[in-house]
Amino acid sequence: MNIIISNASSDPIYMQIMNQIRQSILSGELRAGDSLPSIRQLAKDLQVSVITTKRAYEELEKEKLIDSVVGKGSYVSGANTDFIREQRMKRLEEKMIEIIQESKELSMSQQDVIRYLTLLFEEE
Amino acid sequence: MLNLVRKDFIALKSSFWMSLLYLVVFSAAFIPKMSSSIHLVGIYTAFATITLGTMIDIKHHNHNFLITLPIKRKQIVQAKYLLAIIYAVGGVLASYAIHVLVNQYFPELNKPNYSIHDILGPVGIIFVLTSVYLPLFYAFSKKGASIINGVFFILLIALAQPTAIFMNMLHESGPQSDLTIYWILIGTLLLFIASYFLAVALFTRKDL
Amino acid sequence: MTNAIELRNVTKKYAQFTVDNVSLDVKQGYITGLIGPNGVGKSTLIKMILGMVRPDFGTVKILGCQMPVQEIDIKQRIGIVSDDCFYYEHLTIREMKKLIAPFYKKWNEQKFNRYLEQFELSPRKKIEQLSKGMKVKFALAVALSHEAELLIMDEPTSGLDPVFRREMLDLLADMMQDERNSIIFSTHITTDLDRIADYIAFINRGKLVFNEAKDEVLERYTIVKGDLQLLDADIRHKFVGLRETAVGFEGLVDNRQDAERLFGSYAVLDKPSLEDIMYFSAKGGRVYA
Repeated sequence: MNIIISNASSDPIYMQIMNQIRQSILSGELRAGDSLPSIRQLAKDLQVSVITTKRAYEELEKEKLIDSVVGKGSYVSGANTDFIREQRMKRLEEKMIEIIQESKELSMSQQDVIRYLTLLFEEE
Repeated sequence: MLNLVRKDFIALKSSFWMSLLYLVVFSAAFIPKMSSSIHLVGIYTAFATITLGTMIDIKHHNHNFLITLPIKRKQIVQAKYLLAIIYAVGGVLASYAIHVLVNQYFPELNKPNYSIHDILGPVGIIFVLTSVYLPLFYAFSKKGASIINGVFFILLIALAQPTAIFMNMLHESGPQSDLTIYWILIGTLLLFIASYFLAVALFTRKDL
Repeated sequence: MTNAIELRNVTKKYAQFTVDNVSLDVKQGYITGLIGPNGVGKSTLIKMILGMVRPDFGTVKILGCQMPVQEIDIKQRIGIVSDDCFYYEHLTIREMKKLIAPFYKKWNEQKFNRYLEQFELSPRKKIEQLSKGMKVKFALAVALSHEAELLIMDEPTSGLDPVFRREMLDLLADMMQDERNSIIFSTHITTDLDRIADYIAFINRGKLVFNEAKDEVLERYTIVKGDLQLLDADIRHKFVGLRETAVGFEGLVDNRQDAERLFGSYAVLDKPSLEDIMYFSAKGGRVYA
């Protein structure tokens, strides 16, 4: 797993960390049970505050993507693959909504969009 | 506290030849000329070594370093007083040794025979001097140390005559006034102890 | 959460300035940066923590122990790295080590030698031959070799080259792998802290301005840049500090949401650095004083 922090980004650092770990999990690069670097190790590697990495992990715990056990560290939650699928579906949905809005701005009809999509599917 | 004493020895290691130099110079200066040379050589050498130690501390802002170590300020003062005792005894004994040798090899200098008084007397005088010197050192440290040292050296030179007189008194008074001598010794010790407490009180309150 | 250092109502009066009723907690397990312009009480505060200066009022507690009563216990467990460490200049590193080591119960000779090697310090070198940066390295080696739980660093990086400054941040992060350890780091070069500090305590004119998580501070404050015409008396008061030039203004506001509401798209809002916060706070007070 790679985490790259950009100072130019308008996102706070904890969010950049969170997004990239989430991305790795949702893309399947990190699997259930895989262990994550400790909060302090990650802070050292990224040369950021411990509070920053801690916050990123806490947010990911809230999303139930990772689990933390005191004394053992954090690992990718294996509890529900369904949840991860659900999360990914949700993201897909968000992107689809984006597409719909975009196509409306371009004054494409529903049929147009579906046809376009079918075309792209076939090309894949 | 022994670590602190050790610290001074390590710090002074490269300067102990200075003490030896003092010993040689004072011996050469006083022995041929003065009858009380045994006392002066001891006192001067010991006191010069004590000031050597304090000057080296001042030069390197040593208190700012010591304060980082796991010790109390009281112990810093304690170690200095202990060192003063060691230097006093060391200086006087060195002087005694030299005079014994002088008696052996240069009998024409006609030095008298020495007694225990010739060791205790100078040690007492160094104690008195130190009792005044160290509290002043801890009260003024950085700002005034070189001035204090200068004043004390002038004082030492000025004291040469009275010392001789005092030591003569000790000799001539004979055994009947032994009691007085012991009282003086006890007084000196008390002064030394009081001075230690004063220095501790001054130093623990000081901002470094 | 326990505190590595607890200052309560610490006050010290001097002719020129006063450290005024400072209560400060340095949290265990984190790096706290103590920032502020020079001569506003940072070093006096550090000196009071170390027991070099006795406060007129207030109490100092370190690692749960009371200063100066438990000074010896405290100092066994802390390491001190200072801008000017007062070693005996005429001694070599090895002699100085011999002098220091016996004072510590937990002295780790192997660790010390490893650090000397890592820092490229020859034990035969005399202290007077060391550059300022090398002295800091030596002090750091000493501090890390007696297993200090609390590292107190007083302007440690001002004499260091950028390469070693980065390396040092790694060393500090290494120490922080153990969550029982803590570091307080006083500096006016805030770029070091932009990276690794967890908490920032800001001292200005003898007073504690804030002591908060760095991320929160950086999120709360914002830099506002815009046209001079936007400024009127009311708006001026919203600024912690303001810099006006012929071509516009630049100022610091301590509430981002407020600023967003107030200026909308009329002004540019920028992320501040710790240096910005320090600069405008120091400047601001003078304007409104």
